[in-house]
Amino acid sequence: MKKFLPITLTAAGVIFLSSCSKLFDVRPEGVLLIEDALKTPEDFEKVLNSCYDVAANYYNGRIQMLNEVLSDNLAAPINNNDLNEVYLRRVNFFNGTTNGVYREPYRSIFRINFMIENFGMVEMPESRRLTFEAEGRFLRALGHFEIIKLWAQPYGYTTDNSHLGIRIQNQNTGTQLQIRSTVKEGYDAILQDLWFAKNHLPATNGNYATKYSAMAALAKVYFQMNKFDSAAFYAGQVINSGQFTLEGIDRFKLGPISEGIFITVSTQTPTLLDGRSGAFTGNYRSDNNPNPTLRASKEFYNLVAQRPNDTRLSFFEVRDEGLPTEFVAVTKFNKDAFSIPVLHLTEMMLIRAESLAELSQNLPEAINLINQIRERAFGDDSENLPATATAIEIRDAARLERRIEMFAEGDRIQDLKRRGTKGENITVRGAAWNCPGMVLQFPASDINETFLGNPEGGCN
Amino acid sequence: MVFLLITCFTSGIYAQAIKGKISDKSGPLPGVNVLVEGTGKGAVSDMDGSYEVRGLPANTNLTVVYSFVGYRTERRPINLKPGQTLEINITMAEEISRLDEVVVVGYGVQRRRDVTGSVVKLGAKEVTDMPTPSFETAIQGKAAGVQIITGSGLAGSGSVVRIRGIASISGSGDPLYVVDGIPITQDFFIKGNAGAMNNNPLAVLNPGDIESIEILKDASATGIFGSRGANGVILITTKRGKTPDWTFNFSTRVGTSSPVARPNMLSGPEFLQMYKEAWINDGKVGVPVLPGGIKWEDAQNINTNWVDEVIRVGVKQRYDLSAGRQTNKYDFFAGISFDGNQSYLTGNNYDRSSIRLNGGYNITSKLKISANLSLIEGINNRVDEGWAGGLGAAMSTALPIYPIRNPDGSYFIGGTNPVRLRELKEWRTRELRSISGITLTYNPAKNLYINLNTNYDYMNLVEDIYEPAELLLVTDRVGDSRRFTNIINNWNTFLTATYDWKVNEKNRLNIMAGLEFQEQARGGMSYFSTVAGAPFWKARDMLDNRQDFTPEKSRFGSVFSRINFTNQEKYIVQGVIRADASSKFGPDNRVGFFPSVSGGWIVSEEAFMKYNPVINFMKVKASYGIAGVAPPGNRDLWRSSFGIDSVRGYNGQPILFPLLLENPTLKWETSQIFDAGVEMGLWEDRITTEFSYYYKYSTDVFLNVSLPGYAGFDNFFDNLATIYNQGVEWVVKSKNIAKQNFSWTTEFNIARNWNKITDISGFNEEAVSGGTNDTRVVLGYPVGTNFLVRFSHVDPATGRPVYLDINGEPTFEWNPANRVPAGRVLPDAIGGVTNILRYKNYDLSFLFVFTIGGNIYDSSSKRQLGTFDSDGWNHRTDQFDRWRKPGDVATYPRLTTTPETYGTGTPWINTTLWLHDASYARLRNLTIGYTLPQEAARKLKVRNARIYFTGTNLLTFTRFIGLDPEIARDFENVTDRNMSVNITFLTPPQEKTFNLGIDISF
Repeated sequence: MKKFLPITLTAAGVIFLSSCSKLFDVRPEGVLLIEDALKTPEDFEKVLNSCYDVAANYYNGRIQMLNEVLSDNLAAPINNNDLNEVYLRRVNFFNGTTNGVYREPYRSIFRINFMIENFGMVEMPESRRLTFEAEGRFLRALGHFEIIKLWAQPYGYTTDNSHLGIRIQNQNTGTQLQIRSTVKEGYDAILQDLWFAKNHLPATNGNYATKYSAMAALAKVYFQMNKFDSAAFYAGQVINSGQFTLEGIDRFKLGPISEGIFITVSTQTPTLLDGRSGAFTGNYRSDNNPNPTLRASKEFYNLVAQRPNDTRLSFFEVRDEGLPTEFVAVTKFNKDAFSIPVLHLTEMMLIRAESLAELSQNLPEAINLINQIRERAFGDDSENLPATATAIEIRDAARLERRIEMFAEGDRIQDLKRRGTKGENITVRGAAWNCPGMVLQFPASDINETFLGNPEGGCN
Repeated sequence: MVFLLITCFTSGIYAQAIKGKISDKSGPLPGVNVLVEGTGKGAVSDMDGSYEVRGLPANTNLTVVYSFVGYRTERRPINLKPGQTLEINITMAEEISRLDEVVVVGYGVQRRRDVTGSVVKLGAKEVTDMPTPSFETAIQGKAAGVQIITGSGLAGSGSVVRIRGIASISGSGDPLYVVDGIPITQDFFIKGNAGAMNNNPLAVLNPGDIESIEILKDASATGIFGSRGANGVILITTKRGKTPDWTFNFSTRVGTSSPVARPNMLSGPEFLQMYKEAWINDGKVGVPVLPGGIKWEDAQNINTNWVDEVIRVGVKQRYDLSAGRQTNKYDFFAGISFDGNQSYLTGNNYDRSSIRLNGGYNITSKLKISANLSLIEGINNRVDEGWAGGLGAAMSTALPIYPIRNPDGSYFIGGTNPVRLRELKEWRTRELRSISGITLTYNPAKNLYINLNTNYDYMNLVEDIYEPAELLLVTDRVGDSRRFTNIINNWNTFLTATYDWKVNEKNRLNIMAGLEFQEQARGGMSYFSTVAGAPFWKARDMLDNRQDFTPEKSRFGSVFSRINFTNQEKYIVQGVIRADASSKFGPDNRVGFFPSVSGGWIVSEEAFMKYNPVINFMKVKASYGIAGVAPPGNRDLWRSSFGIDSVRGYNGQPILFPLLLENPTLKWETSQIFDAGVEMGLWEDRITTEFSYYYKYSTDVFLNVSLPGYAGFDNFFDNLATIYNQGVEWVVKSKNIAKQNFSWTTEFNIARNWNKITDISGFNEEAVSGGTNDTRVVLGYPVGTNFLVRFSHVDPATGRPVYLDINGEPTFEWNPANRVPAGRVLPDAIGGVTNILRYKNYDLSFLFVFTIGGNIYDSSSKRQLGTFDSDGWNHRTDQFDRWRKPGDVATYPRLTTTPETYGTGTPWINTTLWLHDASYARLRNLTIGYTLPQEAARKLKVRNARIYFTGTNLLTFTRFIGLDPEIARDFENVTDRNMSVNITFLTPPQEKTFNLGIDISF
């Protein structure tokens, strides 16, 4: 018997291992398995909220700053090699900052697609499901739009927009390698999502997306495509909704923002400050940092300073004047935390004004829109456009105010590219609007034989 | 007078003694147990083989027993006359050469004869013969095929240990450490790489407690550990009482620590001169704008030597006291130890205090209980190093033109100031650890043993950080006090039955079978306070804002069996099978089977070899087996899970989000391993040698791949790679001289490993995710390939660096698309040479370790020898050899303030200019000792006493221009640890130590 004890033990063991597989299914603590995570419609609401959360993390200044550094609004970044690469238009596929920002919208898109693909897990009213989907698709469109603007040549770069865009993820693809969609496919998908969102979103939705958010996004996308009639139409719809009124010159603040059409919010409670403006404060802030990373360019400062009564001049301050280290500090973001008006009334007014000018339609309305912005900036009508202003004058006024109003919002470089595709002769800090370095490089982990990288070689 | 009388009286009864010398055929034999049966008296022979036992009764029949592992026990009957001192000289005979030495093999022991695998045994002395930051470092150079790369000069720094190459990428490549049967918690990433150091879970083990270390290298040996043995197993056995009467040991050592090399950074004036040259080279005019907004005139008046400010001569001290005894009824060992280990980095020290109690008690003749209990406290006073501060800052962004303090006495804050950081920040980790177990051994019938072991490895790591407002430059609070507590409970229990079946005169069968179950649970919490005003260890009542970490738990269960069959004491066959189940896999892949089969043939037992004049021993062995690896950590990677954040969320509302991309088909990483070896003894074992070959083919190797951005997740853990390793090892030990008064032995070992990745499932070189990414996974190349743009030369006309593009054509543009496999961190060969010389009571030993071939990547030199730009690094004097005017042929390009001169947009570019040959030889240890002669020892009432001097890392021979050719930087994760040894990034070099020690036993 004793000889066979070990063998008996082995046999017992094998039975033990195979029959007690459950013993080795250790339910993780502190996290939820899918069957526990998605049980009620409210769970989907939380997933959706996490998509907004991600959006707030790339709209906290990160996506805006990559655009802004590429433009002529800023001087060379200090003490930040990654941003300096962007400024030098030599982004390589190891750039941790650009790679990090690139991943964020897709993180949100994964969750949106996951949510849409799993609606079947829970019973909920059709209307509620449609609202969830509409909010998701609104955010998906914004995410795709932000990526396509930075990582691909602009809409209109080729006449049929068959040039390589980005990956449009309308469904999750796991670990499968995918090809780049064309820019045309990209804009088509973005518009599809926004139309759906416009049709199914409510008119009010707290701090979340509304049908006006979708319309404002449509105006912005169409404007970027140089489709002025649609841009003017949707911008007009938002302006005339009566839901939004202009703020003062500073619309970056905590609490409600009356001109915010879609905002990503920083929240303050007595116990918690949930700030979502870190990349603005971290890079521009000049009251607690003698050497801010990002500073306005001299050229931009001079543009603002040529109208000394412009109250927006107070957002800028020349430091170390006359020294080799002289620079233009930005004071606009000298605060701890604020919400970000991603889509706002000022932009809608300027889109509509410029679009009307481009279309030579309703010029008095266009003049009125610009003058509202100017009166806010100057405190009086001293800089107003005359009623006799020509379409060209209106367009140029809109562009000037747009550049000043939307400083640091990442608009300038896309505006220049848009105008480049229209055939205007555009150079940005000495380089053509469509040179390779104007487009960021994809992360090294994305580029392979299936997914081609952008051409390198900067803009020299 | 009374005293004299008493002396006379007592000596009248117990004045009798025995003494003499014990030797074997090659000379004096130290360490032999001498026991006079029935009296409880005994001794251990000293260095020259002498022994003496006093106080024996007269006119009594006694038996003296001489015993020593590996030798035949001798017995001598005596009957002493009153006052007699009898001299008995003994020559001990080895027991059938060294074949009956007992070797720990996992769930039991085997006679050396029966071992069919590759096992290296190191004794206590080899582990404690020199001061090291952690016990495993002392193994370096002493075991063939075991590569040990010592981490850095930080106190308590760990090493990277690789047995027979590296077969894992994103799974742990470390061997399994088993202490007295307990697979211990060995996670190097509990604290990430905070402050540029990985927490070393092995640093708490007291080397003084270690009796022996067995390193299992091949499938035959590791097979019994199944899925966990793929990277080798290191078995640690702690001391137990072994002398018939009480033996006390006391040892102490004091020493100093200094760096093996000092960085050659620029002085203030040198920096300004070079900076100005760069400024002028770029065509800029006027006064150069310096980093940190420092004015040129001010900079000229400052010359801070930051290296001097952050290093010192560290002081080391160690005290170890133990007592032990073994009788028929019980055995007992108790040890207490303190090790105070200052590094040469100012403010950094690791203090370890430990207590150990090991004992056994025979409850009945059939039932024995034994226990190992240890309690250890390790306190690490941390400093920021590497990229985080300290010496790393002195080698990088702390410029010599920055002062330590402003004229008003306040700290300078305009740029990096490592002194300010060190002096203001308080940082301490305290690890409480207990590795303990209880064993019940039941012997119900002859040769049948049943063992039940229950073990518990408890780890409680508390990290306290305090940063005062003055450091944080804030005014709204006193400072930030943080505490992070990590608790790991590791339970393990196993039941084994062993039967030694003597089938008949010729055949023996040893059968062992067992069951094992292990559960590891991890949890912890953090605390935060802005009002405590001190680190929490000084302000315990201020613990506030508690948050619990997500707990993790994993389970592991096994059933295993080993059958060892011996025929005529010369043919051995062994079969092992182990089935493991792990909670880290889904239901379909949960159980893995890991069999191995092996055989040995002791050729020298054959009749035809009996009278061979040269070869007195020869054994041939071979094995084949399958081993595996489970994913690291305790989290499920096979199924998706979701996190919920209701505290912050977004917009004041909770958020719910997926945490990982599930992989339901995740399965064991498996290695098929073939080994063959031959052991020989020549000229009556004057020379012993062993040659081994291994081939290891690892499939389903884990890769934590970087997913493309559009996948929505950063990475994915999957079985994606195939790696093969093969290698050869050669060990030779020679007793060059073996005379009574003079002996000299030499041990030499060398190992070569070939390693190649043969499949990465179509992913590119950027596939492997995370970490410092210093090396790449490249198809057709070894693990840890330096994948770099090739630097060609400095253009004599322009001074610009010339690179080679992918086709080998010269270009001024640095483009990462031009990277090629340019080097490898794995060496061609590694090894060590130990020489031990004894002359009378003096001994001298020295150990050289060496590495031949392979590369070291001096990652920080891309900045230390690169551009002078606004984020300001100090540079090294190597850069004096630079291009200055057309026609210059120089090592380094023209100085510049912008990376564009070097054909790039960033100063952080990797090229082969920073890749160096990693070959080196190092005098790892030199020890000179003197053992007190027996006469003198007796006068001092001690059994043995030895005083010695030992120095470590005294000499290094290398062509590497950086600080230390043997280095392991801080790692981000397991993958990094496998791939990026021999990369240095501001890593503090190893320490050089000088020590004086005393060992006394009484």
